[in-house]
Amino acid sequence: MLKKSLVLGGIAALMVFGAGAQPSGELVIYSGRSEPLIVPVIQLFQQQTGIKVILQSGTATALANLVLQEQPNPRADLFIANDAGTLEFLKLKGALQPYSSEQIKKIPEQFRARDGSWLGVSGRSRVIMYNTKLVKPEELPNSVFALTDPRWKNKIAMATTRNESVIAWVTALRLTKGDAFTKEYLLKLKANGIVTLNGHTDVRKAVGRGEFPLGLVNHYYYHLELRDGSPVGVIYPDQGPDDIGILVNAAGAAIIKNAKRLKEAQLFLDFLASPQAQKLFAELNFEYPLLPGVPTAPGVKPLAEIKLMPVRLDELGKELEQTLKLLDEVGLG
Amino acid sequence: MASSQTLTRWVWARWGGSPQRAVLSVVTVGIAGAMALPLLVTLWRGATAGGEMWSTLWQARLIPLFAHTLALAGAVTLGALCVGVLLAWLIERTDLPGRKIFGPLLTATLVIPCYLIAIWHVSFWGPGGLLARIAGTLFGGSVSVPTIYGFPGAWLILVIATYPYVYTLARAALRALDPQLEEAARSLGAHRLTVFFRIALPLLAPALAAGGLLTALYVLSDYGVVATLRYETFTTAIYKHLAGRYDQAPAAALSTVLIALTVILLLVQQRLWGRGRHYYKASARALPLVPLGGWSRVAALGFVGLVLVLGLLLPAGVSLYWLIEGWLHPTPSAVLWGTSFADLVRYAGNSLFSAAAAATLALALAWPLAYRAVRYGQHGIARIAQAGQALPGVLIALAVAFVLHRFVPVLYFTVWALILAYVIRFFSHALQAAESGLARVPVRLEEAARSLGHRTMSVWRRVTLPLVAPSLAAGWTLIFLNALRELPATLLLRPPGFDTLPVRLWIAAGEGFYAHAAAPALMLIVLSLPMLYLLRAGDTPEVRYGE
Repeated sequence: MLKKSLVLGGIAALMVFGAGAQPSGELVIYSGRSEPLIVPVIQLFQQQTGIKVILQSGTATALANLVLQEQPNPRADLFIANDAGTLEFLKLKGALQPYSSEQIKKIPEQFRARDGSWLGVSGRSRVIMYNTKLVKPEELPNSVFALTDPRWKNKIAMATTRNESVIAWVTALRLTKGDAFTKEYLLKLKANGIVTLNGHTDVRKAVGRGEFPLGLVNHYYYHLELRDGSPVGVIYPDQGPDDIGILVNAAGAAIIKNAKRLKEAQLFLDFLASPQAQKLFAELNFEYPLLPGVPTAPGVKPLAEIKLMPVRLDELGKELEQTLKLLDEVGLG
Repeated sequence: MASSQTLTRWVWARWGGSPQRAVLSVVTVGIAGAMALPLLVTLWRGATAGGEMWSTLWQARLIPLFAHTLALAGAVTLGALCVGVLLAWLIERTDLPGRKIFGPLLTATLVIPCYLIAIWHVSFWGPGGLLARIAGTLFGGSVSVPTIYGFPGAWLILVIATYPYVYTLARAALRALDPQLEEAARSLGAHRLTVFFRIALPLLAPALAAGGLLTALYVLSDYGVVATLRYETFTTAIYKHLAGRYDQAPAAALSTVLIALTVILLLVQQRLWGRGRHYYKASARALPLVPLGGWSRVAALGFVGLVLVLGLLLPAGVSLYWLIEGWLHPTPSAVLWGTSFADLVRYAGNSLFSAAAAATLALALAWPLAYRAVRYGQHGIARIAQAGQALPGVLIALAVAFVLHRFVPVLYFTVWALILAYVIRFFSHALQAAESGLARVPVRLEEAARSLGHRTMSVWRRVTLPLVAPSLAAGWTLIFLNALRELPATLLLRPPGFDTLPVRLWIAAGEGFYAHAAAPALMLIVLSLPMLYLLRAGDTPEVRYGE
């Protein structure tokens, strides 16, 4: 009997110890962005405000799932996503807390949720990057639809279709070209041996090393790989007068409904819209700053010079589940 | 009336007999139920998934997944059997120079978690990896290495990671062979090969079957190696579904299929385990050693060397290289993402705490079950409690999160959810340790102590504990080490801000920042060194589902 009570006591003691080890009182952020791309911004926020941040990195969808599951008693105060579609999806599910301020209103309207549920923070366009040692300039494809050509069999890398940027791109294709066309196109890519890797960093490094001549990425991955010293170039596809243009998506952030540290979360959103943070996104990550007046990094093609797909960002959220269904039917890894 | 009385009496006799025993029965059933819950939940979720979803899965995913998973499991098992048996034979039965040193070294690869072996091999052989760099500096040109990604790489790494299971069991079996049997066969004129096939092989068969099954089970549950080498099996497909979809029903459905595969293997294993051939070893003599001739000696040494290089030296060397490289030539991206030494210590602390808590809790929970099984000969419930071993880490995490979120939200996404997942995953180790420990304490011994006037506590302290302690310590260490390196469940269940060493090195390596992965990787290897002691302790049958 004493033995058993000893054991029980031990368990109880462990429980108490464990509960004590739980972090409390800090701003908790779920982030679906690649960690190296967000950590510098968070570090700057901690330095400026003295607010301690606990960062949980993962895939945006998995974390969005958590945000939904944890309502109405969320663990996290803020959600950072690599894709506006995921943010809009959470808004439609009623899991976000609207917020607006003078600073946030400076971000152009098309990059914010209409009701202030989420805030676009940095922009990215879908491009094709290539290895300059493996592809001659005259061979370069000028459209994503040229990638089904047998010439590129087994030569293209892209991120997994679980990646939110990829999902948003597929949604945009569906909205401009229709479901049947999009499904057929993806099946052709699959038949052409396109390889899906775990994420965009994988893709950029694989193209940089020369493992694949071509890679489908967000534009800043090309610049990151170039900065790390690899022989890579970039194509802005589908820019002709009859072409569909390029999807520009926004990475963004939102306050989670019933967040415990609401004030600090609002401070963080204001910080993301501030010139310093916007400069970090532009200079460290080569993303498009969305705050007017903050310049893009040297070498990055300005948004104004790119032909864009006529897709509104909130549509990406509305169409999300339909796209996921189509992707499951295609079965592209 | 009479029948219900009989029933009551039967139940009382079986489950109770005394108030203490009744309490013990209830406690045991509760623990076993908790341990088996993830399995039941996963099966239930798969069974209740809609028919439409199954048909989508069937068309797009299931057949290639089956083919990929089974092909890999089969090929790795075959490879591990060949490598393991050959090595065991070289060490035990030949005059291979240095075999006293090679013997234990060949199991030392278990110290390095296999996802680490995979990561470092990729960074070495992979495109633009270390090998290409070295070749570039030395010869100015480029070498063409066949790609390590996909089936061949996954096969190679998994064979390197799993051959120790076969090797350990085969060595023990070889050592137990009776020389008189072979001598008798030889004296009757049988050829060496005939002796091998008709005498040695049948005697080794149970050990080989056991080792092969362990290997196959391991391959089914592996996540880190196949994910690193871009080879899709059930575990990676399930993980990707969890990470990239809102609807979790397909993940549950895929899980059901994987569980079915695993359970079939486990059933076969239990059959074989029970049927091990026992025979009387009449002679205590060791078997005569086979002398290796000149060339075969060189070839044998080369083979042993190759295995050691691939499994031990290359991973250790490459992690050291990246540590130094990251320190000397940091890339711009790496600098921005820096991890401080204090962070590293915190990750190590998290790893140590969760692993130690899991090992302690697992043994505490296993104790009543083992007690009931050993003292009253009732093994059924203890077997149910081992259900966790049929579940790869990904599935345990999924089920634990599901159950806690629904029914015990207080624990959901706390360290305790993670620790609970570890306990369930490695509970079979705890049970084995507690049972084998208790089996060494004859009840008579305790009774004798009591008849000499010792109280319960005194008996426990002076008789039971000293006899049980070695088994419990070994079991604790084994669970601790396995939990320390656990990856897939930790990735899914860790609460915010609670990163462990495996998680950190996995995220860094996933981003291709090998220099960042090096420090936590080396720390993990150093913390795993006690494994060497466990392995040295002999042919521990507990060294089974090491991950």
